[in-house]
Amino acid sequence: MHEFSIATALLDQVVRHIPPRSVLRRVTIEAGPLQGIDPEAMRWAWEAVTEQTACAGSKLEIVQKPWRLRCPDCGQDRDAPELDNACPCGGQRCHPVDSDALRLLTLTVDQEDDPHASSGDRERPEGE
Amino acid sequence: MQVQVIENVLKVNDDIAAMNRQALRQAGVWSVDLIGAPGCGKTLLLEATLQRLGGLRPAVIVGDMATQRDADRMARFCSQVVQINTGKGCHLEANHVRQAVGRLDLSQVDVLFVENVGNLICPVGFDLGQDAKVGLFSVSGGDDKAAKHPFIIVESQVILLTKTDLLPHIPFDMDLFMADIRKLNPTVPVIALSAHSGEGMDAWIDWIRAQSRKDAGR
Repeated sequence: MHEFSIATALLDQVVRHIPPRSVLRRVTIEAGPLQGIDPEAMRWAWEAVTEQTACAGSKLEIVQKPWRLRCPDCGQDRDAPELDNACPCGGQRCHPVDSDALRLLTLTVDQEDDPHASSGDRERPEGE
Repeated sequence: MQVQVIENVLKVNDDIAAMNRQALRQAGVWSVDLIGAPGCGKTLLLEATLQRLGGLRPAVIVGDMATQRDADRMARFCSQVVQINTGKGCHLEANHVRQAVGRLDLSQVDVLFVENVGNLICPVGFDLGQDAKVGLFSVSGGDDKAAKHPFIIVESQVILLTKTDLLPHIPFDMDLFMADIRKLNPTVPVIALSAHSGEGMDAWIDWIRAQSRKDAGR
């Protein structure tokens, strides 16, 4: 359940970045495959840590990045859905690089005093 | 309205870790974070290590959710030991280490060992400010554990396979274990050892000596 550790750190970070007089609707993060994040567990953890906070009800979107593999034989980097040591050049020694990202990308907020506030990102309650 | 952020989720931890790293390096202390599952032999390895360091002066920070037991065990071999109880926390964070380092006399320390909370997953992403991460796997844990925990394999500066004295008694496919490691990290040194029998301990101590000397010249 390391998703819970990450969600706790993410909440502290998100709170620092929410503009004044705004209501948080959506948080988008990106995660590399080395982080081993299970999206469902991560969304559940986010729901749990935001409960009874100003961020309650906001949605967490997780952009899962592919593996970034480097081949020492041809020197090329490529993206791949799975860890694979085989390279199109024939080499068999590809290894992951830069596959450990865990970054907060964007917040989507509604500003309370803005009559043109977009409601496009507002989530409908479950079951509606 | 969209707010662009683009910032590491663990930025606050990373910032404190950077402060730890600077403070330890300024004091001439080389530091290492031991990460492994509960029961993989971290504490026994440290006890055996502390008795073989020769002239290197050690300090130990040991993290557990509860109890003082590991610190009591270390205190028999090391005068500077700080136990951290994380309570509900499943890993050490840089702030734990910052507070613990404040209780050490760094002028009397050459090597700082940090024994993380027993957990092969959560601790990996939390930088503590250490110079090296060590991933521990035990023979009794099974030969499939490297493939199942890719993050620690990629992040480790050395990987230890502990409890090799059990190899005659437990099915463990060494070729599979090594192949799984090499898929993820082609160059990381792997040392097979037993704190119980002493096998491989010299290679581990040599690695500590070489690494701390190399980093002292940075």
